[in-house]
Amino acid sequence: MGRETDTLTSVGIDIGTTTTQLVISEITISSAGLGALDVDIEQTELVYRGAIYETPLLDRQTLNVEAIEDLVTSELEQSGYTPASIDSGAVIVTGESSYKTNAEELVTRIAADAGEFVVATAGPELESVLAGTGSGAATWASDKQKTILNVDIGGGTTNMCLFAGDSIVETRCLNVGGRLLRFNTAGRVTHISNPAALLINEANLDIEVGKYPSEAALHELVDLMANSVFETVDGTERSELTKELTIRNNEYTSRTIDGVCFSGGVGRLIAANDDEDLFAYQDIGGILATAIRERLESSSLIVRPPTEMIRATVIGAGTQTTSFSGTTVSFDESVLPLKNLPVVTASFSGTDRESLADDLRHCLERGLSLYETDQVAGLALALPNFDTLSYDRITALAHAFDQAYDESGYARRQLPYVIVTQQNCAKALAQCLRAISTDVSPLIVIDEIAASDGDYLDIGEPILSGQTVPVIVKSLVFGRESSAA
Amino acid sequence: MTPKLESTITGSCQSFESIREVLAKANEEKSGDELAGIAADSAAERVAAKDVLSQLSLATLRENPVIPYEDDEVTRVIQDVVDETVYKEICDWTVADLREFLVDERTNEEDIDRIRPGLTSEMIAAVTKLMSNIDLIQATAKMTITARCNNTIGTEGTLSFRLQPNDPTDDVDNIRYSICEGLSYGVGDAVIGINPVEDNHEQTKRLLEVTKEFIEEWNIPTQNCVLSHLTTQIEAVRNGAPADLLFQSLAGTEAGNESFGIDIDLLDDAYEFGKEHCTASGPNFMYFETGQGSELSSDSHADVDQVTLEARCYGLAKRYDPFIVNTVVGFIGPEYLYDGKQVIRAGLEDVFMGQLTGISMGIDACYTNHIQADQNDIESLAVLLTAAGSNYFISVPMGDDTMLNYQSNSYHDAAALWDIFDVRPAPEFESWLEDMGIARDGHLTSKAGDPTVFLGEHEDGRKQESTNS
Amino acid sequence: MTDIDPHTDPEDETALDRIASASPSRLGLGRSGTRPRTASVLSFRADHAQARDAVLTHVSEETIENAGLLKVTSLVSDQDEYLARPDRGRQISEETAEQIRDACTHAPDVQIIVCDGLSSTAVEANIADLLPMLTDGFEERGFTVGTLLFVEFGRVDIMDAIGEELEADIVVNLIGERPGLNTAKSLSAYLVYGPERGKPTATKSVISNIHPDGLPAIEAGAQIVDLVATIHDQQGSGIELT
Repeated sequence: MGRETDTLTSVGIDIGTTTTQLVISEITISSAGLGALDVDIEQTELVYRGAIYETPLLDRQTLNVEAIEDLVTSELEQSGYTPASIDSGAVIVTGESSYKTNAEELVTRIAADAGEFVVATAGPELESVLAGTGSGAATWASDKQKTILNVDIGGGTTNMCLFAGDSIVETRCLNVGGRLLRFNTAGRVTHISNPAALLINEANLDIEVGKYPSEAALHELVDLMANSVFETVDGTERSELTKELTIRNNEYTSRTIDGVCFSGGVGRLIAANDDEDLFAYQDIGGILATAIRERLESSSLIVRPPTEMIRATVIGAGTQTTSFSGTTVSFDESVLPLKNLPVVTASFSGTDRESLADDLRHCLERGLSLYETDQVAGLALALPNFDTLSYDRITALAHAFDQAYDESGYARRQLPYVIVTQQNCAKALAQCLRAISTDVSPLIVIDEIAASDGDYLDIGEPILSGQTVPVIVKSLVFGRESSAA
Repeated sequence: MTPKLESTITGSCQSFESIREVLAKANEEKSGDELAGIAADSAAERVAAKDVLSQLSLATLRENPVIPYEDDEVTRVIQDVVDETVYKEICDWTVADLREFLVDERTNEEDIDRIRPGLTSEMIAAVTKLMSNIDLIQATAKMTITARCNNTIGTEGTLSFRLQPNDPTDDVDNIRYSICEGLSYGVGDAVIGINPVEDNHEQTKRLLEVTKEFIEEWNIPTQNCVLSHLTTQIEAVRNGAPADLLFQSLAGTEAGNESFGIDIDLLDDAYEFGKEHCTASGPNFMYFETGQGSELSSDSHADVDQVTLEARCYGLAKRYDPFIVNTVVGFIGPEYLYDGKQVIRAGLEDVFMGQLTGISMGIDACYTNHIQADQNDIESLAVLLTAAGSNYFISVPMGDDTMLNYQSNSYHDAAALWDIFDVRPAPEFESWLEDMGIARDGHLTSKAGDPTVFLGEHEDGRKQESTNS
Repeated sequence: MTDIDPHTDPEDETALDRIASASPSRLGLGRSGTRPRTASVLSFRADHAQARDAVLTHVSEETIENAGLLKVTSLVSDQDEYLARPDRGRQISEETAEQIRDACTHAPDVQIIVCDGLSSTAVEANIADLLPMLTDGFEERGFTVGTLLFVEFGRVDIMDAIGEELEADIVVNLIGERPGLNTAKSLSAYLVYGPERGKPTATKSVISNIHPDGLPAIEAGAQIVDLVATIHDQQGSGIELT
């Protein structure tokens, strides 16, 4: 039985504090064919690197949605791909841009423009993970089985992610970036972002909008920023000031790291080691990079070169957001693709049919009360793991489902039955359900996917001759608080 | 003309129809010959066949190849390469004479080298059937066959190992870890060779790249190989994959090779291709695998016994001046080699026959779980064949290959065998092990056995140590 | 004693643990002098012992009875002959042929046979969950299922002889795989359309690696049902499938 492969085209769009970028990747996936247990991601190849644009704004609080849409449209044209040919990917709004009043509206519109299955997402944790994936830090940790901290410093925020071997240990996010203070061509201050204002107040620096700041004051400001970055890299003892700059303040694990990797716009300036024109970008990015570089020289940290710097996050976004169901999925193809299915998680108190039915019914009722079912395409019911997958257990579960869909009132709404399991039992459960159920609702059972309450699922059309479906689990939503706002 | 094929050595008269039948029935007991229906029916018939065989002349064997010259290209390769001058000197020897020549303490390596070009695979197989296990070990120990790729294998006093880092899903990380582990035990000088799960050129290329990168990063004097089909490897190399060695399984008959999807033309072309495109520096770059019973398993044995067919594989292999030839004994199943005893016998026969043919010979001493053998049997075989001077063994982590689902020698066995026999790895590789601090004076150092020594970066390894502590 | 115990004194201990747990191979186990540590040797021997026992022991009468299987045998008479003579494990005697012609459903859509193969443990571990998934699934799809058979000392191709005698459309042979050290519980399912003696291996479809840590028996059951439906529709199996 030969190996089958399929290729998905995936887009990554990053709308950051300073820049907006688009990249396109080809993801080759394969399975060993009949009886295969897994789908493997064989290769991800970056096929288009878009230009780096300055993020268009209407005013300080508002992103210019139309200009950004135009930009994405023209980039797509430039790349030679059409929205219809894009299978997957993510649009993320990062750094300070995510605080803008219309950020959510923007990503939703861009996601709809860029292709059927592009997911809108945001959040500093995800951003940190994506940057570390795109920079090559994650691969290095996995190859070497070592620990590495990726530090992505952009215009508005610094996003760190700690990778150890194959796992992600934690993310650390700071409101520190190269564009928190901006100048006009003459060198007069034109804008001070909240986190910068906080530092200026704290240190009593003579920096005001409309005035020419002294070089000493600017150096003191970026020194404070660099200090917070290094305290966060170290993770053990952080000053109150650093904690104030921290987004979602958490305690950090203390562990020896085998290296740090700098990415992002400021990361690129750190590596460039070129002090010719520190104010070329009319912001503090250049001098912040210099301050960090100087500290690195006297520190014991080992700096690992990234494979990507300024495009790290967008590449991560374009390649890391899609997972694939196990190869023994069961689905009613007529209803695919499905978008934005809210996930409700069942928990089981017993193993007999009656108690399973009760638990499933409660779960469905909760889902129906939480989500307007005329607004969504259905509920995705996520199952916990069983210790053993026996014939008796799976038939009891199928009966319980049949009963619960009926009694909860879900069956009457003519929505598809969507069931998600982490264990490899999708076909078995579907066969049992079909055998006992008199209901005609479309049935979709996908396995080997982990999802939990609050997530949303997109399920794409089958690939690899129907062996699997691409699944996007959207775990991060808007509405987060900002400690600097 | 064919002499009368009769013996009364056990009292009653036993007679045989053909040389092929004599060769088959003179074999030590093998379940594969029984399955093929060509084995001796009794112990008495077996010894009668040995008696008849002992009195045949080498000329008779030359003139009666087990498959006719016109019917089989393997026969033609073996016959055409015979040095007629040397052959004329020895053609009147009986097989018994040849045995006594080989085991005589006055016969040295040069004497064997001198007659080698006059031998055919049938003669080599025939004498093997008359030799006991000590005979085989002693005669093998006299012969030194070296070959050169990125390092030199087979020199006196050395014992090399193939590092076999297979993984059931071809997971590149796991393969790399297994390479780190093996190298930390000092194995890998014969080859770092992977049996891929899937035979396609993309995967072959990927694995060749992974192994080559690792070898280059750590500057290891060894060679890489991915054991997919020869045509798959060539396709991968055409697409830019770095291969030091080209691999192929061989059979002792034209039909057997056909079932492997190869013939002499294809092998000739591959050899020319390899000369041009292999990344290795040495003149020897072919790697062949063989094993008693493979022709029967593809129903292409032509009623020839499995020892004779195995000798013919070596005759074919020699045409391509291989870096290594590996006999995989014990993998094929109890219907060919029934138990530990048969596996050990086959291993001794094969390494002897390979060296007498003049090829760089080593062995995968192994067993599956449905054969009556265990780790003790293959450890015994490894000890016997180190005594005999096998060029190398296959080694896998803790003896357990989780991809091919069988057991072979452990990475650990290398240092134990060096220790017991006072032998060393290939010279270039030994220097490298000393530079890495893994071995000193032929013994493992305290650093050995720790795969994580290969996880740091080569250049700044010291720097990392100091910041971690 | 050895002067080094790499398991407690590696250059990077956390990395060593990760390597040992990530790989299915026996990595990072350290050594005692040149030899493996005692615990590693014993755990290797324990796995080999289980594999050997799976080859050498028989499927219990209780398992055969509980699953409602009718027991028959190949031409092989004992374990030694089974290992040495695969040809005899593919054939049935004229008496056995007559026995099944008398006792079994004639010309079913699907004939299921269970063979001990090279692992009785695999049969014991899987068929209680696998067989009802098959019979339920075939019923749901409207296929008739023949009398369930257990074949002692059976090889894969005995499905051809039995299928031919019973004139089954499709035969499913559930057979114990050669055990590895990682598991002795692995079962394979071979499927053939239009069975007849001598039908080439390439015309058989196979789903392998059926065991609790691989493809779970219930999921394998549903997969086999799907595949039988495909074979039925296309009237072919193995390489005949498109």
